[in-house]
Amino acid sequence: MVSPLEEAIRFLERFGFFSVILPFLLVFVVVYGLLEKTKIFGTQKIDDKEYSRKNINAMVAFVIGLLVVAARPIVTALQTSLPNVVMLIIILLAVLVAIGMFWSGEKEFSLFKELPKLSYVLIVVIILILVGIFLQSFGALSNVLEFFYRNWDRPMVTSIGLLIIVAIIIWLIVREGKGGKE
Amino acid sequence: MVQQTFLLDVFRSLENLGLYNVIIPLILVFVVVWGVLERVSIFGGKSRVINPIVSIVFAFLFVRSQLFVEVVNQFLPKVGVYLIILMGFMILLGIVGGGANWTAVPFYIIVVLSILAVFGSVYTSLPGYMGYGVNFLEGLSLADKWALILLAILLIVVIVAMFKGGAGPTEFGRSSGRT
Repeated sequence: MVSPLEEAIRFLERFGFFSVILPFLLVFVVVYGLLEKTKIFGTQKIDDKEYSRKNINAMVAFVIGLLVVAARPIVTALQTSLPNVVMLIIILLAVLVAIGMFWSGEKEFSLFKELPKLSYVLIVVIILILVGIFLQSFGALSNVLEFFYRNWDRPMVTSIGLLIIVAIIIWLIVREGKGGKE
Repeated sequence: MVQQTFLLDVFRSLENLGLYNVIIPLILVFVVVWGVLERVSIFGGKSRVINPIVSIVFAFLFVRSQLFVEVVNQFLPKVGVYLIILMGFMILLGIVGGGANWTAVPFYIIVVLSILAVFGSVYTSLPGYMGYGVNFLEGLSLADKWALILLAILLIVVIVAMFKGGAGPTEFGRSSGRT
């Protein structure tokens, strides 16, 4: 049985709320926010106070938003990838809450300060998952995985693996050097 | 059998209305994304308007796909159970005189345990669990499965060896320093 609120969501979907309004709003707001933050189009002085050029920023964000809405593959990718990203955030939040059970609460909880090495491992894992999510949303993940699955014993894939290992070793050596260790 | 009570009826009515499928996930995602955006300040200091709008877009897109909502509805109670079990464990330790030293466990063990617990909760909440859909070991030979298990053990040993040197028994978050 579909609840009234779920029916409302379906109505909004039929209306185009999720395929037009939300992607447009998201792109518009993100681009506008970044333009306001970076002040790419400069500033203007009004009564000896400097303001960002809001009208130009808004116009550029509006146009980019409309262009994104017109590109269906990008809208579909946004619709499929963003819930996955939110899911990842919720899972990470659950992990942090579980770890927080052992936290005394006298100072702010920061996994980076307590376990920097593990945090770096987590960051690498999160980046890999994010890359996978966005590749999947564009329908490319299965091609990449299939390529590695079919060619795992071919020179191409083994060379990539070797390069990654060499890069890690170089990074470890350089990092040790920076720390002043012999 | 669960006895019918007035409050249970109220909750059932709210569930039929879509409280758990729409409103609660919407609020959860909105608040979490907003909190993260406020913390990291992606859009700079003057983002009082931008952060809520981005959060509400994320929340609506999340609620739209009921598959994710179902997974969250399934796995968050399991995490809650894990937290209650942890609390019971701490109470038991308190009874036998653990006092404030119950945290005298290396922090990385707690982190790894928590990650495993949440991962298990999520994995068992995925649709198709128990043999359908998400069985990633399907199609592997017995030798491959053993190789994977050995690799996992090796990884755990390496990770433990990596973090064992630095992190000793701590009282996490206490400003008085390490014990």
